Amino acid sequence: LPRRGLELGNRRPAILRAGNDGFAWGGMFLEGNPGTVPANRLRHAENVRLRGGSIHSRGGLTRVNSTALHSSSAKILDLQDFQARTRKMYPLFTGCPGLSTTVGFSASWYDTDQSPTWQRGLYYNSASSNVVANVFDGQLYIGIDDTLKVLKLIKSPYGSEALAFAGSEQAEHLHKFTGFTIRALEQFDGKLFIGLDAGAGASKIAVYDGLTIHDGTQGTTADLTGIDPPSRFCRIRDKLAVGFSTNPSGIRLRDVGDAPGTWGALIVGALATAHMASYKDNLYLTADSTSVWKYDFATLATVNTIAGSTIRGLTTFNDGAAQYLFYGYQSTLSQAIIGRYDGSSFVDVHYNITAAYASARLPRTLLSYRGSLAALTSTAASGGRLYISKGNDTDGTVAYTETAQPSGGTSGALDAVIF
Amino acid sequence: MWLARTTVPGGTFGAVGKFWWWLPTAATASDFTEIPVPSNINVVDLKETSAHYDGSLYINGGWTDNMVLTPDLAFWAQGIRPPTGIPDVAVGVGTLTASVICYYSWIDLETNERSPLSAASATLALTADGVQWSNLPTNPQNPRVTHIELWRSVDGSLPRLVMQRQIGVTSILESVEVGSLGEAFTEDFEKFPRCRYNVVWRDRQVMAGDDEHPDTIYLSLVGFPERKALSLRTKSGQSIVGLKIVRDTLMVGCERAWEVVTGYTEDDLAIEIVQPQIGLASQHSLRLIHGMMWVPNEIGFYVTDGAGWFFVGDDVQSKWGDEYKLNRDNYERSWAIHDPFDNVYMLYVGTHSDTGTLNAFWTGAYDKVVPLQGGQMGQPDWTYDTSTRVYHCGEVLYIPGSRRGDLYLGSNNGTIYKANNYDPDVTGSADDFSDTNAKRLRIRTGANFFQDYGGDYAHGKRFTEIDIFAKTELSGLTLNLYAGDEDAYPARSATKTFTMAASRAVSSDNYAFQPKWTWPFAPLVGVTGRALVVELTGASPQLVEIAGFQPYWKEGPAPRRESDEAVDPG
Repeated sequence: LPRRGLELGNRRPAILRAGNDGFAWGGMFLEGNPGTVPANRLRHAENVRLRGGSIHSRGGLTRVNSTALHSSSAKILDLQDFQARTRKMYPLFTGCPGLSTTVGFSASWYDTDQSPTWQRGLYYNSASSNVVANVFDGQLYIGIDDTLKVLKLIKSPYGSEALAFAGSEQAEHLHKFTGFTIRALEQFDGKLFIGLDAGAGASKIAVYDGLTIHDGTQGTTADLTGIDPPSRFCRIRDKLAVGFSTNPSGIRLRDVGDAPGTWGALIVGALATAHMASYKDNLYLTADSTSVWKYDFATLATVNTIAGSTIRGLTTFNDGAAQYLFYGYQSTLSQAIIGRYDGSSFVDVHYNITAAYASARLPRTLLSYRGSLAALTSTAASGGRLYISKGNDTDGTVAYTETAQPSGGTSGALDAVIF
Repeated sequence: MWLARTTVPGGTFGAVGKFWWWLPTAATASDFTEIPVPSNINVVDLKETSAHYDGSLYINGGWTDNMVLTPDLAFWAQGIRPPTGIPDVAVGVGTLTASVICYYSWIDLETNERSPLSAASATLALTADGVQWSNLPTNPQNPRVTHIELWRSVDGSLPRLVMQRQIGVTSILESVEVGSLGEAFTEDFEKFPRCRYNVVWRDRQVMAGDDEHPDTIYLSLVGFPERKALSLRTKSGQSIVGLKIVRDTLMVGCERAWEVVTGYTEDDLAIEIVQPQIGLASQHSLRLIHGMMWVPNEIGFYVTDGAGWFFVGDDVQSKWGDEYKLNRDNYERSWAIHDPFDNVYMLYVGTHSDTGTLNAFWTGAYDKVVPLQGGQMGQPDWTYDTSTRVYHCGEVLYIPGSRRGDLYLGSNNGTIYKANNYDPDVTGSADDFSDTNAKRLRIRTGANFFQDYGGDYAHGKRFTEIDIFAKTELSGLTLNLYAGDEDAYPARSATKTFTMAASRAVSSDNYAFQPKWTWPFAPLVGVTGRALVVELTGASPQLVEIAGFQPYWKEGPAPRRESDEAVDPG
């Protein structure tokens, strides 16, 4: 029996209005029985967030990839942020993409971690002869006509382009080689070797040791003088090889040591060197002609000839299983083709870029870039373009990606370096 | 750029794994680029641990060897074993007069990583001679090797570098003078054993989780993270479950203890037990949040700054213990996320009995996890995040070059999902992109007595009305009321249920002017008892905010009623 009669009428106001007025909701309290849960706590809270005293439904998920990665049953076991200082590719042009196809020279940089991916950075619209670039002492050196410069990279905010952000000059002037055009740069033996063109028999190689330019002026001695225009350097067997732009010429080799150095005699060959690469302890060369050349420290001779072709780009690339030598050429059918050499046999049609992208022409430069093989090519009437393999899928089972130059430009591609 | 690792079951054995890089613009599988995996490396169907050093990413646990990813996206097994042959050298033509011993090593000139020296050759006595190297090996086991190095010890000195040559050369005749030799080979090191866990600490890579020697910690040379130089064993003798750096302190998580490594060189490196009773459930459950490491273990959750240890599982300890016991393997493979946008630590444990068959995160809002007077630590607000979908990882990924990130989750269907999406106009914000659980919202209070605990059977409550204070313009909710005693829930189904339709749907009022906040429900026929449990549930909730509730009651019978048809006693 009740001890007293029922009380009638509402007991107002009621006791609890948790959440506001400083009585903030708290999270789950799972200890004891439900009667022990404090008034502003929850016994169960699922898919909510506690903010400002209230209980909010949590945010949802949206899908990133509309088609399954790897497989529709693939476990995505790990996600990672990897924003190390990744190296960029620096394509060089005649003119400047989007501004001029013929006036001056420019340097751009391609970096998948920036937006836009391919950016114009340097434009020298009064330059008349050449632009080259290479790495020395942790910096990118630019040779523009007769002037040696050091790039001072100005990273533009994500979504803006360097040229628009910082202007056409982002390099520090280092030295002017009056009367010469800089044709090649290479780091060797802790120094920067500079190939200087003043015509056949009047060209030379200067050296920058980080302090002094050894070029035969101001009391210094150039490293090598009285030569044909140097066109390319390459390191091999602890030596520096230089090729020349005259034909016939050949190569010369230099050992380590301070400038002026000791250069070996000309190893004669009927080629004007375009590109060089060392592979399996031998030196390989292309000459904008029909052959790949090889120097094995005994003989400089052709080792592969593709009739009617123009072979130029040359690089080594490790696909995770083995190191290969890749060469790029334009065939008699005006197709851009990449060949591959494994040290024993040449496969002349490893990937036909033009079969996938009709406008692709001469692969001027091949590069190993972030686990992919990259080709900077000329094209039919649309200027230089970039073709990059899908990872190590260099034979194009998955087509290379094509990237047009910045700002819809049609400038001519010259060369590219990785830094 | 961002990285992802995927696995599928192998055709016959193990798993097939792939490694990818991708960008925020990725929208289909074709936007992901595969990073080549060396031909002699297989994936392991476990989560991996990684550490950054000098631009490269050192990755352990997810592959059959310890791996390194270089800034150029070359992906290699860490460390290079020395050449297995003995240098084939003989007296040749040259100009040296000395006793020499010769060695080989391999080197990857892209990363400047070299192997230890090979075995030594026999001593050559040279008298105005050179050294003829023959049968140079051309097939290093690690495909990253680019060059072979020749070393020579002259008259008992340290071996010094003679030259580096590209792989492929088979014979060399040299007589490099002593003064022209290169660097000396001064350090003893070897390749690390395969380990599950790694960190970089004081310019050394530290590894643990060697399945052959689970109680051993390995340390690299300073500045050469791939070269193992030292090892320590846990003082407790227990297996190592995880490693973490907390405020420059190297913390070693064991099964039932925590130990700390101190020192800098082989002369003073030491390991000591700092917590003999607190263990670690899983390496991947560790997260650093504002300098404090969150540590789940069999007892519950701790946070530590490396010195003080604070238990932050007060409110959930019993449940946690029961669940760990019930799903031990899940808990020992659990992994965590720090979501800095929602201020939560989230621990994924898979199936959880409190959420039915759904997969669950223990989600701890850490706003209150701050030091309290008396040396205690504030307790987090715990909730669950649930899904039907299985997840395997979560990470905050930052737009390249930006300081702003978003949380991403990796699932078991080859799909990555982006989280923290409160925008109702974005597909998936309501239902986790078609997860069948539809991001179900469920909150349930305890048994509320409203400070009147009743007495005999007649001195309970007859609840007559209830106001719900909630804003739910876009989503419908269901209100369930359970009346009774302390165990009003889950002793029976809801005493009374009401539907709360999305208020935008039932009102022509513009949301911007008049969101509906008060939801009165009456009469509550048959809702009697000493206490009341209020539950709100809803599928696909969007922008729901619940402030609270306010019941009205008269004195009534203490026992709960049997059905809604019970007569209102007036």
